[in-house]
Amino acid sequence: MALKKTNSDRRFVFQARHRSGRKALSVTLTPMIDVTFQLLLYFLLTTTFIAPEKQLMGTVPSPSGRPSILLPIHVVVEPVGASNESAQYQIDDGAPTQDVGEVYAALAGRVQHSGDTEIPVVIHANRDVRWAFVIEVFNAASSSGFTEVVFESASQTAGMQ
Amino acid sequence: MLRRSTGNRLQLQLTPMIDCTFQLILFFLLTTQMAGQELPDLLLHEPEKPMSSALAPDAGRRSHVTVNVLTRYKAPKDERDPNFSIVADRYQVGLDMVSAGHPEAFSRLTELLRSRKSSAGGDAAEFWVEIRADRDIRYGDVESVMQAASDAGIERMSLTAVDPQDGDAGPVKGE
Repeated sequence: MALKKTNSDRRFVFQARHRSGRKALSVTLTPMIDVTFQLLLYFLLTTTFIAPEKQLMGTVPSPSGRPSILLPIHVVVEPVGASNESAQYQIDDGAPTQDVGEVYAALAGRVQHSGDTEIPVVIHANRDVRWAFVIEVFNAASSSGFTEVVFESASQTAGMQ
Repeated sequence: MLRRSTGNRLQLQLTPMIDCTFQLILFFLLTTQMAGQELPDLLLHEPEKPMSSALAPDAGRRSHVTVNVLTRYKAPKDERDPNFSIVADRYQVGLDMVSAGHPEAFSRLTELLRSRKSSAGGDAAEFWVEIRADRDIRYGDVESVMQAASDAGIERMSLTAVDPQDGDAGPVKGE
Protein backbone atom coordinates (compact mmCIF):
# COMPACT_ATOMS: atom_id res chain seq x y z
CA MET A 1 0.00 0.00 0.00
CA ALA A 2 1.49 3.26 -1.06
CA LEU A 3 1.52 5.88 1.58
CA LYS A 4 1.02 9.49 0.75
CA LYS A 5 2.37 12.25 2.93
CA THR A 6 -0.94 13.62 4.03
CA ASN A 7 -2.30 14.24 7.48
CA SER A 8 -4.81 11.41 7.21
CA ASP A 9 -2.16 9.00 6.06
CA ARG A 10 0.15 9.94 8.87
CA ARG A 11 -2.61 9.11 11.32
CA PHE A 12 -2.95 5.73 9.62
CA VAL A 13 0.74 5.06 9.99
CA PHE A 14 0.58 6.01 13.63
CA GLN A 15 -2.24 3.53 14.25
CA ALA A 16 -0.62 0.87 12.16
CA ARG A 17 2.50 0.96 14.22
CA HIS A 18 0.45 0.37 17.32
CA ARG A 19 -1.26 -2.56 15.71
CA SER A 20 2.03 -4.06 14.73
CA GLY A 21 2.51 -5.44 18.23
CA ARG A 22 5.85 -3.78 18.88
CA LYS A 23 6.26 -2.97 22.53
CA ALA A 24 7.13 0.64 23.03
CA LEU A 25 8.27 2.18 26.28
CA SER A 26 5.44 4.41 27.42
CA VAL A 27 4.33 6.23 30.55
CA THR A 28 0.63 6.06 31.28
CA LEU A 29 -0.30 9.62 32.04
CA THR A 30 -4.05 9.28 31.95
CA PRO A 31 -4.64 8.37 35.63
CA MET A 32 -2.39 11.16 36.80
CA ILE A 33 -4.16 13.67 34.63
CA ASP A 34 -7.50 12.39 35.85
CA VAL A 35 -6.52 12.84 39.48
CA THR A 36 -5.01 16.23 38.75
CA PHE A 37 -8.17 17.49 37.13
CA GLN A 38 -10.24 16.09 39.97
CA LEU A 39 -8.15 18.07 42.46
CA LEU A 40 -8.34 21.18 40.32
CA LEU A 41 -12.09 20.88 40.02
CA TYR A 42 -12.43 20.36 43.77
CA PHE A 43 -10.52 23.52 44.60
CA LEU A 44 -12.30 25.54 41.94
CA LEU A 45 -15.71 24.52 43.25
CA THR A 46 -15.05 24.76 46.98
CA THR A 47 -13.06 27.96 47.06
CA THR A 48 -14.97 31.06 48.05
CA PHE A 49 -13.58 34.53 48.37
CA ILE A 50 -13.89 36.51 51.57
CA ALA A 51 -12.70 39.92 52.58
CA PRO A 52 -9.39 40.16 54.45
CA GLU A 53 -10.04 40.39 58.17
CA LYS A 54 -7.93 42.04 60.82
CA GLN A 55 -8.21 42.27 64.56
CA LEU A 56 -8.07 45.35 66.74
CA MET A 57 -6.65 44.33 70.11
CA GLY A 58 -8.22 45.73 73.25
CA THR A 59 -9.04 45.13 76.88
CA VAL A 60 -12.24 43.56 78.14
CA PRO A 61 -14.12 46.15 80.20
CA SER A 62 -13.85 45.32 83.87
CA PRO A 63 -16.57 46.19 86.41
CA SER A 64 -13.92 47.45 88.83
CA GLY A 65 -12.23 49.50 86.16
CA ARG A 66 -8.55 50.14 85.76
CA PRO A 67 -7.39 53.28 87.55
CA SER A 68 -5.16 55.61 85.61
CA ILE A 69 -3.26 58.67 86.75
CA LEU A 70 -3.83 60.20 83.34
CA LEU A 71 -7.02 62.07 82.56
CA PRO A 72 -8.80 59.93 79.96
CA ILE A 73 -10.33 61.07 76.70
CA HIS A 74 -14.02 60.30 76.63
CA VAL A 75 -15.74 59.57 73.33
CA VAL A 76 -19.53 59.33 73.40
CA VAL A 77 -21.36 57.55 70.56
CA GLU A 78 -25.10 58.03 70.26
CA PRO A 79 -27.47 56.62 67.62
CA VAL A 80 -29.12 58.91 65.10
CA GLY A 81 -32.15 58.18 62.91
CA ALA A 82 -35.31 56.16 63.18
CA SER A 83 -33.46 52.86 62.66
CA ASN A 84 -30.15 54.02 64.14
CA GLU A 85 -28.69 54.20 60.65
CA SER A 86 -26.24 56.91 61.64
CA ALA A 87 -24.34 58.01 64.72
CA GLN A 88 -23.23 61.12 66.52
CA TYR A 89 -19.81 61.39 68.14
CA GLN A 90 -18.62 63.69 70.88
CA ILE A 91 -15.09 63.89 72.26
CA ASP A 92 -14.97 65.20 75.84
CA ASP A 93 -16.83 68.51 75.87
CA GLY A 94 -16.33 69.16 72.17
CA ALA A 95 -19.05 69.83 69.66
CA PRO A 96 -21.01 66.74 68.59
CA THR A 97 -20.48 65.61 65.01
CA GLN A 98 -21.82 62.95 62.70
CA ASP A 99 -18.66 62.92 60.59
CA VAL A 100 -16.39 60.12 61.72
CA GLY A 101 -13.56 61.73 59.78
CA GLU A 102 -13.55 64.50 62.38
CA VAL A 103 -13.11 61.88 65.10
CA TYR A 104 -10.08 60.45 63.31
CA ALA A 105 -8.63 63.96 62.91
CA ALA A 106 -9.37 65.02 66.49
CA LEU A 107 -7.80 61.95 68.07
CA ALA A 108 -4.76 62.13 65.82
CA GLY A 109 -4.48 65.80 66.78
CA ARG A 110 -4.49 64.91 70.48
CA VAL A 111 -1.53 62.60 69.94
CA GLN A 112 0.35 65.21 67.94
CA HIS A 113 -0.39 67.90 70.52
CA SER A 114 0.48 66.00 73.68
CA GLY A 115 2.75 63.32 72.30
CA ASP A 116 1.41 61.01 74.98
CA THR A 117 -0.09 57.83 73.61
CA GLU A 118 -0.68 56.31 77.05
CA ILE A 119 -3.69 58.51 77.75
CA PRO A 120 -6.68 56.15 78.04
CA VAL A 121 -9.46 56.56 75.49
CA VAL A 122 -12.79 55.53 76.97
CA ILE A 123 -15.64 54.77 74.56
CA HIS A 124 -19.14 55.39 75.90
CA ALA A 125 -21.46 53.79 73.36
CA ASN A 126 -25.21 53.72 73.60
CA ARG A 127 -26.53 50.17 73.59
CA ASP A 128 -28.66 50.89 70.50
CA VAL A 129 -25.88 52.31 68.34
CA ARG A 130 -24.78 50.05 65.51
CA TRP A 131 -21.55 48.12 65.96
CA ALA A 132 -20.02 49.64 62.81
CA PHE A 133 -19.87 53.11 64.38
CA VAL A 134 -18.25 51.76 67.53
CA ILE A 135 -15.61 49.99 65.47
CA GLU A 136 -14.88 53.29 63.72
CA VAL A 137 -14.15 55.05 67.01
CA PHE A 138 -12.01 52.17 68.24
CA ASN A 139 -10.04 52.16 64.99
CA ALA A 140 -9.66 55.94 65.12
CA ALA A 141 -8.12 55.74 68.58
CA SER A 142 -5.92 52.73 67.83
CA SER A 143 -4.64 54.00 64.51
CA SER A 144 -3.87 57.38 66.10
CA GLY A 145 -1.44 55.58 68.37
CA PHE A 146 -3.33 55.34 71.65
CA THR A 147 -2.28 52.19 73.41
CA GLU A 148 -5.16 51.95 75.87
CA VAL A 149 -8.57 52.04 74.26
CA VAL A 150 -11.32 50.74 76.52
CA PHE A 151 -15.06 50.54 76.65
CA GLU A 152 -17.01 51.98 79.51
CA SER A 153 -18.09 49.12 81.68
CA ALA A 154 -21.81 48.72 82.19
CA SER A 155 -22.77 49.64 85.73
CA GLN A 156 -24.77 46.49 86.03
CA THR A 157 -24.74 43.21 84.23
CA ALA A 158 -27.33 43.23 81.52
CA GLY A 159 -28.85 40.03 80.26
CA MET A 160 -29.36 39.09 76.65
CA GLN A 161 -32.14 40.95 74.97
CA MET B 1 -0.84 20.70 21.18
CA LEU B 2 -0.48 18.42 18.28
CA ARG B 3 2.84 18.89 16.57
CA ARG B 4 4.84 17.16 14.00
CA SER B 5 8.02 15.52 15.17
CA THR B 6 11.00 14.63 13.06
CA GLY B 7 9.78 11.08 12.73
CA ASN B 8 6.56 12.11 11.08
CA ARG B 9 4.60 11.03 14.12
CA LEU B 10 1.79 12.87 15.75
CA GLN B 11 2.52 13.54 19.40
CA LEU B 12 0.33 15.01 22.06
CA GLN B 13 2.49 17.37 24.11
CA LEU B 14 1.06 16.97 27.57
CA THR B 15 3.94 18.48 29.49
CA PRO B 16 2.88 22.16 29.24
CA MET B 17 -0.67 21.30 30.20
CA ILE B 18 0.44 19.29 33.21
CA ASP B 19 2.83 22.05 34.22
CA CYS B 20 0.07 24.58 34.05
CA THR B 21 -2.31 22.37 36.00
CA PHE B 22 0.18 21.77 38.77
CA GLN B 23 0.87 25.48 38.95
CA LEU B 24 -2.83 26.09 39.52
CA ILE B 25 -3.05 23.41 42.19
CA LEU B 26 0.02 24.77 43.93
CA PHE B 27 -1.50 28.26 43.87
CA PHE B 28 -4.72 27.10 45.51
CA LEU B 29 -2.88 24.97 48.06
CA LEU B 30 -0.67 27.86 49.12
CA THR B 31 -3.26 30.63 49.14
CA THR B 32 -6.19 28.76 50.61
CA GLN B 33 -6.77 29.29 54.28
CA MET B 34 -8.74 26.52 55.85
CA ALA B 35 -11.52 28.44 57.48
CA GLY B 36 -13.58 26.06 59.49
CA GLN B 37 -17.14 26.35 60.55
CA GLU B 38 -15.95 28.42 63.49
CA LEU B 39 -15.87 31.44 61.19
CA PRO B 40 -19.30 31.78 59.59
CA ASP B 41 -19.91 34.22 56.79
CA LEU B 42 -20.60 37.62 58.35
CA LEU B 43 -21.05 41.12 57.07
CA LEU B 44 -18.16 42.76 58.89
CA HIS B 45 -17.61 46.48 59.01
CA GLU B 46 -14.92 48.09 56.89
CA PRO B 47 -13.62 51.24 58.61
CA GLU B 48 -13.09 54.42 56.63
CA LYS B 49 -9.39 54.57 57.46
CA PRO B 50 -6.80 51.76 57.37
CA MET B 51 -6.49 49.56 60.44
CA SER B 52 -2.83 50.37 60.90
CA SER B 53 -2.65 49.00 64.44
CA ALA B 54 -4.55 45.79 63.72
CA LEU B 55 -3.14 42.29 63.67
CA ALA B 56 -3.54 39.59 61.09
CA PRO B 57 -6.10 36.97 62.11
CA ASP B 58 -3.54 34.16 62.34
CA ALA B 59 -1.66 35.77 65.21
CA GLY B 60 -2.17 33.79 68.40
CA ARG B 61 -4.81 31.62 66.82
CA ARG B 62 -4.23 28.82 69.30
CA SER B 63 -4.84 30.77 72.49
CA HIS B 64 -8.13 32.43 71.82
CA VAL B 65 -11.77 31.72 71.21
CA THR B 66 -13.97 33.33 68.60
CA VAL B 67 -17.45 34.55 69.44
CA ASN B 68 -19.55 35.27 66.37
CA VAL B 69 -22.54 37.56 66.84
CA LEU B 70 -25.02 36.54 64.17
CA THR B 71 -28.17 38.13 62.81
CA ARG B 72 -31.39 36.48 61.70
CA TYR B 73 -30.33 36.91 58.07
CA LYS B 74 -29.24 33.59 56.61
CA ALA B 75 -27.23 35.18 53.82
CA PRO B 76 -25.33 38.06 55.42
CA LYS B 77 -25.13 40.10 52.26
CA ASP B 78 -28.84 39.96 51.49
CA GLU B 79 -30.52 43.28 51.16
CA ARG B 80 -31.62 44.37 54.58
CA ASP B 81 -34.62 46.20 55.76
CA PRO B 82 -33.25 49.68 56.53
CA ASN B 83 -36.02 50.27 59.05
CA PHE B 84 -35.17 47.18 61.01
CA SER B 85 -32.85 47.71 63.92
CA ILE B 86 -30.79 44.53 64.05
CA VAL B 87 -30.55 42.62 67.27
CA ALA B 88 -28.44 39.54 67.77
CA ASP B 89 -30.15 36.30 66.83
CA ARG B 90 -27.55 33.90 68.17
CA TYR B 91 -23.99 33.65 69.39
CA GLN B 92 -21.56 31.08 68.08
CA VAL B 93 -18.67 30.14 70.35
CA GLY B 94 -16.45 27.83 68.39
CA LEU B 95 -19.00 25.34 67.13
CA ASP B 96 -21.42 25.82 70.02
CA MET B 97 -24.52 27.88 69.36
CA VAL B 98 -26.31 30.01 71.94
CA SER B 99 -29.68 31.51 71.11
CA ALA B 100 -29.69 35.18 72.06
CA GLY B 101 -33.36 35.01 73.02
CA HIS B 102 -32.85 32.24 75.53
CA PRO B 103 -33.30 33.37 79.15
CA GLU B 104 -30.14 31.53 80.17
CA ALA B 105 -28.13 32.85 77.21
CA PHE B 106 -25.82 35.07 79.24
CA SER B 107 -24.87 32.40 81.78
CA ARG B 108 -24.50 29.83 78.98
CA LEU B 109 -22.17 32.16 77.08
CA THR B 110 -20.16 32.86 80.21
CA GLU B 111 -19.84 29.16 80.93
CA LEU B 112 -18.67 28.40 77.39
CA LEU B 113 -16.01 31.10 77.57
CA ARG B 114 -14.87 29.92 80.97
CA SER B 115 -14.51 26.33 79.80
CA ARG B 116 -12.60 27.43 76.70
CA LYS B 117 -10.23 29.42 78.84
CA SER B 118 -9.65 26.56 81.27
CA SER B 119 -9.00 24.16 78.39
CA ALA B 120 -6.30 26.51 77.09
CA GLY B 121 -4.05 25.17 79.86
CA GLY B 122 -0.78 27.02 80.22
CA ASP B 123 -1.89 29.72 77.82
CA ALA B 124 -4.79 30.75 80.08
CA ALA B 125 -3.04 33.95 81.17
CA GLU B 126 -2.73 35.14 77.60
CA PHE B 127 -6.10 33.81 76.53
CA TRP B 128 -8.27 36.32 74.68
CA VAL B 129 -11.65 36.46 73.03
CA GLU B 130 -12.16 37.47 69.43
CA ILE B 131 -15.46 39.23 68.78
CA ARG B 132 -16.75 38.87 65.20
CA ALA B 133 -19.97 40.82 65.06
CA ASP B 134 -22.20 41.79 62.18
CA ARG B 135 -21.70 45.45 61.35
CA ASP B 136 -25.36 46.35 61.92
CA ILE B 137 -25.76 44.60 65.26
CA ARG B 138 -26.68 46.94 68.11
CA TYR B 139 -23.77 47.58 70.47
CA GLY B 140 -25.69 46.29 73.48
CA ASP B 141 -25.58 42.75 72.12
CA VAL B 142 -21.81 42.96 71.64
CA GLU B 143 -21.37 44.49 75.06
CA SER B 144 -23.02 41.38 76.49
CA VAL B 145 -20.20 39.29 75.03
CA MET B 146 -17.65 41.58 76.68
CA GLN B 147 -19.43 41.24 80.01
CA ALA B 148 -19.56 37.47 79.66
CA ALA B 149 -15.84 37.44 78.89
CA SER B 150 -15.17 39.59 81.93
CA ASP B 151 -17.21 37.26 84.12
CA ALA B 152 -15.26 34.32 82.68
CA GLY B 153 -12.01 35.94 83.78
CA ILE B 154 -10.79 36.89 80.31
CA GLU B 155 -8.94 40.18 80.19
CA ARG B 156 -8.00 40.60 76.54
CA MET B 157 -10.18 40.82 73.47
CA SER B 158 -9.97 41.61 69.79
CA LEU B 159 -12.52 43.20 67.50
CA THR B 160 -12.61 41.85 63.96
CA ALA B 161 -13.19 44.08 60.96
CA VAL B 162 -12.22 44.29 57.31
CA ASP B 163 -9.13 46.33 56.61
CA PRO B 164 -9.80 48.71 53.70
CA GLN B 165 -6.08 48.82 52.92
CA ASP B 166 -5.76 45.13 52.19
CA GLY B 167 -7.34 45.40 48.76
CA ASP B 168 -8.60 42.28 47.07
CA ALA B 169 -10.12 39.44 48.97
CA GLY B 170 -8.17 36.25 49.34
CA PRO B 171 -9.47 32.80 48.68
CA VAL B 172 -10.60 30.75 51.59
CA LYS B 173 -11.96 27.29 51.78
CA GLY B 174 -15.42 27.28 53.23
CA GLU B 175 -17.29 24.46 54.92
